[in-house]
Amino acid sequence: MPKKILIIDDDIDLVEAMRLTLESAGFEVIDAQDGLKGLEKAKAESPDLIILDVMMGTQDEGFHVAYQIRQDDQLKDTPIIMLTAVGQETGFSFDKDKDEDFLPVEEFIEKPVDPHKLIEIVKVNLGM
Amino acid sequence: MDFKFRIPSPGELFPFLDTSILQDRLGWSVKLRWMAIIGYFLATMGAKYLLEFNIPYHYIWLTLFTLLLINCVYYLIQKLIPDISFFAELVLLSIHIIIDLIFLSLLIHFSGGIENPVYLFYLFHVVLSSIVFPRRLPYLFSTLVVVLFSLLIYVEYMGILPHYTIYQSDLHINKAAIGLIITVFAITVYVTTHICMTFMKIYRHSKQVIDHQNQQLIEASKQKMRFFRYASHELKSPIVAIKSTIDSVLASFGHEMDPTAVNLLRRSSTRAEQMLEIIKDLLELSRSRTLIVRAKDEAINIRELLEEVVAQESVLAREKQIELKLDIRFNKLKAPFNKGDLEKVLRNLINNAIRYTPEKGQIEVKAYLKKNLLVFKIKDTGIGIAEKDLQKIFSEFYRSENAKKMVNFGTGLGLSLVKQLVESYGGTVSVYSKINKGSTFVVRFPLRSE
Repeated sequence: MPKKILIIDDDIDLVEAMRLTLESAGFEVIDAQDGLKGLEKAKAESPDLIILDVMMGTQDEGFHVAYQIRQDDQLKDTPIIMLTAVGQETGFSFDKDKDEDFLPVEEFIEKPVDPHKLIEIVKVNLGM
Repeated sequence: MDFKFRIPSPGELFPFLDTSILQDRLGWSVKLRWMAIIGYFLATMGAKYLLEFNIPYHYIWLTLFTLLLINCVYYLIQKLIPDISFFAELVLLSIHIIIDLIFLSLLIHFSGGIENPVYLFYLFHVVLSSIVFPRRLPYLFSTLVVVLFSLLIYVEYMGILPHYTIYQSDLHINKAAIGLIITVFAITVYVTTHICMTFMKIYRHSKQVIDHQNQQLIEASKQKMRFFRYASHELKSPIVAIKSTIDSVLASFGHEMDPTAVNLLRRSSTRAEQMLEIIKDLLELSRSRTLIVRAKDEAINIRELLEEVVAQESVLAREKQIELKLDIRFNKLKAPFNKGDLEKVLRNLINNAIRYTPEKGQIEVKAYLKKNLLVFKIKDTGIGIAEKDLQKIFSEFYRSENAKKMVNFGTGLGLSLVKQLVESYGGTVSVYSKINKGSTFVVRFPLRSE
C-alpha cells in the first residue's frame, strides 16, 4: 500500500510538479485547490501526510486549515508540511487571544522546494 | 526627563502644547525663577552699596524670600506629582504666572514704583503667556499686567501705599508722567501680545498644513508599498511554478533524457532561481518601513506598559517557578510609540525568555536610559542559542534545534517580527548567548529629543 499524500495548494502547476516528484518516489498523491475542499478531501480520504500552502486566497488561509485539521479527531495526528513563499510577508496580527504564535505544524518549507529535499522531508515526517 | 514630543494635535486649540511640553515649561519656569530671585537680590546689593539708593531693602528681601519658598513648593509639586492632567498643568502654569505678576508688582513697589524701569519685566510674562496659552487667554494676562501696574501707580499716587523714591523726582504724583508711562506701557503690552499671538497663529496654521501634507505623503507611500508587494507576489508565483516544474522533471526523468536537454533544463532552473533572488530583494526593500514617518505614535508611559506586560507574563513564569525580576531605572518617561508595537516587542521577548528557560530559572527585565537611547534588556538563564544559530534566529520561520526540542510549537515568527518592529523605529536588537547558560536580548530605541 503506497502512502497517500494530500497537497492543498491553489497553484495547479505547482501541484503537478510536486505530484510528479512524489509519484516517482512511490507515493500516491491527491490534491485540492483551496482550504475548504482540502479539508473535505482530508476527511474523506484520510491521507498519511498533508502538504499545505500557507497563502491561498488569503494571506493566512493555510494557517486556518492547519488549525481545523488539528481540531479534527480523525485528522489531528496527520503530519502537516507547510509551504511558504519566498520572502513572504506574513500578514500576521499577533493577537494574543488567537495565539497564532503556536502553530501546530511539523515543518515549514520555502517554495520552490527542491524535489530531493521534498522527498526527504516527506519520508522523515512519515517515519520512513 | 527632558524628552519632548508632540502628540499630533488634539484639536487645533493646542497644537503647540502637550503635557510634556507644559511640564517642561513648568520646570523651566521654576529654574528661571531661581535665577530671577538671585539676580534681583544681587541687584539690590548693587543698589544699596554702589548706588546707595534709599529704598526699603528688608521688604524687598522679604518678598524675594517668600517667592523663594513658593518656588520650593512649585519644585516639590513638580517632583512629587509627575503625571498630572493636561488641564491641571495649564491651571498650574496660570497660577505661576499670576503669583509672579503679584510678586513682581510688590518688588516694583518696594524698588521705587514708577521711577524704576524694572516694570518692563512684566513683558517676560506677557510673551510667555502669549506663546503658551490658547485662544484669547493671553489678552486676559496682558490686561492683568496693565491693571496691576496701573493699580500700583494709582495707590502710590493717592498715598494709600507709601512711595519709595529713588531720584526724589516726585514722578509718582506727576500726572503727565503717569499718563505717559501707563499709556506707552499699555500699548507695548498689547502690541507685544498681538505680535506673539499672530506669530503663534501662523505657526499653528503651518504646523497643521505640514501635518496634513505629511499624512497624505504617508498614505501615498503606503499605497505604493502595497502595490509593490502585490506586484512582487504576482511575479513570484509563476516563477516558483516554473522552477518547481523544471526541477521535478529533472528529478523524475533526468536519467532517461539526453544530457544536452538535461543541461539546458538545469540552466533554465538556475535562471529562474536568479529571478527569485531579485524578487526576494524587491520584497525585502518594500518591507523596510524605516523611511516612512510613523503616524500613530503617542506618548506612552514606558514604566506603566512594561509593568503591565510583566504582570501578564508573570502568570506563566509562576507556573514554571521562574523568578521574574523587573528593574526600571527611570520614573516618568514618556516616549512616542505605537502602543501595540512596543507591547508586541516586549511581550515577545519576555514570553520567549520564559518559554525557553527551564523551571526554577531566573529572568531579569531591565529598562534604562543611556544617552539618548531607551534600552530594554531581557536576560534569562534558559537553554541559550548556539553560535551558529545566532545570526539566523531573527529570520522568519527559523527555529533553532534546541528551541524545537524545548518547546514543540512555534512558528519562528516572533523574533523576526520583533526585529522588524524595532527597526521601524530606527532601533536595534542584539542578542548575547551561551548555550545552556542563557540569553540576553538587548533592544535599543533612539529617543527623539528636540
